[in-house]
Amino acid sequence: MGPPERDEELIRRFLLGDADAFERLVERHRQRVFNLCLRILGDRADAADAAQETFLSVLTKLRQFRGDAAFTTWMHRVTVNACHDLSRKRRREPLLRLASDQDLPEAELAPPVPDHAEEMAGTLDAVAALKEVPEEFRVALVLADLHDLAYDQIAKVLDIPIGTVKSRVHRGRVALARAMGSSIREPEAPFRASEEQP
Amino acid sequence: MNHPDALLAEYVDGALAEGERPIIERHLDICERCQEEVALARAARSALASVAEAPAPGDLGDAAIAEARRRAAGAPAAVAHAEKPGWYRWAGAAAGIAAALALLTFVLPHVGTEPAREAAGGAAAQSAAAPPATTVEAQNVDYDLAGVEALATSYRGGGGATFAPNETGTQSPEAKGVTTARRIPFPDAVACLDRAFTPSTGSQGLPGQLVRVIQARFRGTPAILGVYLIGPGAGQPADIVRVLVASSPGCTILTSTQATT
Repeated sequence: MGPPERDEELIRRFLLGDADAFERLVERHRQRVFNLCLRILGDRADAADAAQETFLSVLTKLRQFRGDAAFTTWMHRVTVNACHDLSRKRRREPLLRLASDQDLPEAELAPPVPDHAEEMAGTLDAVAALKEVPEEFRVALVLADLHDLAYDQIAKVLDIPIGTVKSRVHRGRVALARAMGSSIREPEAPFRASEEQP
Repeated sequence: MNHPDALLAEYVDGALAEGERPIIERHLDICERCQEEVALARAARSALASVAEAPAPGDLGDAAIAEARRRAAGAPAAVAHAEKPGWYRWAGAAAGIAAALALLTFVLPHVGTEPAREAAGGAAAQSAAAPPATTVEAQNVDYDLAGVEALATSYRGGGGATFAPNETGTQSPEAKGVTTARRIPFPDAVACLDRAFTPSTGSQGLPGQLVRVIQARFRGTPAILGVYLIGPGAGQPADIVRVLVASSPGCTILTSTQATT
């Protein structure tokens, strides 16, 4: 079996009429797109909606894609935009969300992390606390620390200067730690956090 | 005291350039606020490192895959791009533009309703990209915030070229009888938008492609509206439309809005 086809090759094949190539593209990015949506939106049903919208949007715009190394960046950008659109929509219809706010608890979303009960507790706290981080910081934070994008890639995804990305990531980390409060597990560091609570 | 937030992110990552590290460490020696934040940021980074990936629903993307199969089954245009001669592509583009114009005529009066947006997004998105603006379009219209937002969202799916607020009912009641001021030359209008918005965007010139310049009013103030299509570059399609509104004369920011295409 040869090496996996590059995204750009799959796109080229799809544009020549091979729908299987698009399916491969979706399968390849399904997990990443869904998790990006989930961590930005904090709700599994919303994340599924936004991810679905992302793939439809990619399909619609793919004919205009010229096939170069920026596909992953573009995919993240389309995903973040789909999340922003859904966020705005949700803000306009808060009353309609009451029923679906009873979605599955976050604990059911992630597979358990074996062996370390403390880490498991820390994981759940971090996921819950992410929702308390202001959205513009949260998006940068998720892209940097959960999706491992470099700062210059995030700058392209969000169309903002790289210095702003770094500031948002830092502010996001601080906001997350404060939202986690006393449950946070201190790493080894030369400076200790103050015991002041937010 | 200024706090170097951007450098603190890289400091926590352990990725600071050699020359920057002593600068940060000197700052940390005297700044309790940054000491505390570095500790918090390290704790957050560590906590996020243990967040497990959530399983995606198995049917996620199936709607797009089904649509892709439907299009592949009856989509000669996709093959035509690769295999047909140039004249064929131009004919296809012309047909696409004609279809888009027909959609704009029939769909735009209902822009804002979900079915209309879907209809416009599905078909018009494949039409040719909007060309750059070269003239100032004078409108005898007084825009309000809803009107500016409607102008932005009318570009979803590649439309918007014929949008005017009186077509969607967002024109302010007092707009009737507004007389258009002296026609502003195109270079002056672009310079005005640049002057008003470049400091706030922090960049040299405004981002994206300017596809439309409108001279009208915003809440009674003579104004210039600039419509920008913004994409990630590298020849990829625009995915954001931004509408900037500046006073004219004066060139101060009156409002701005953006929507995804």
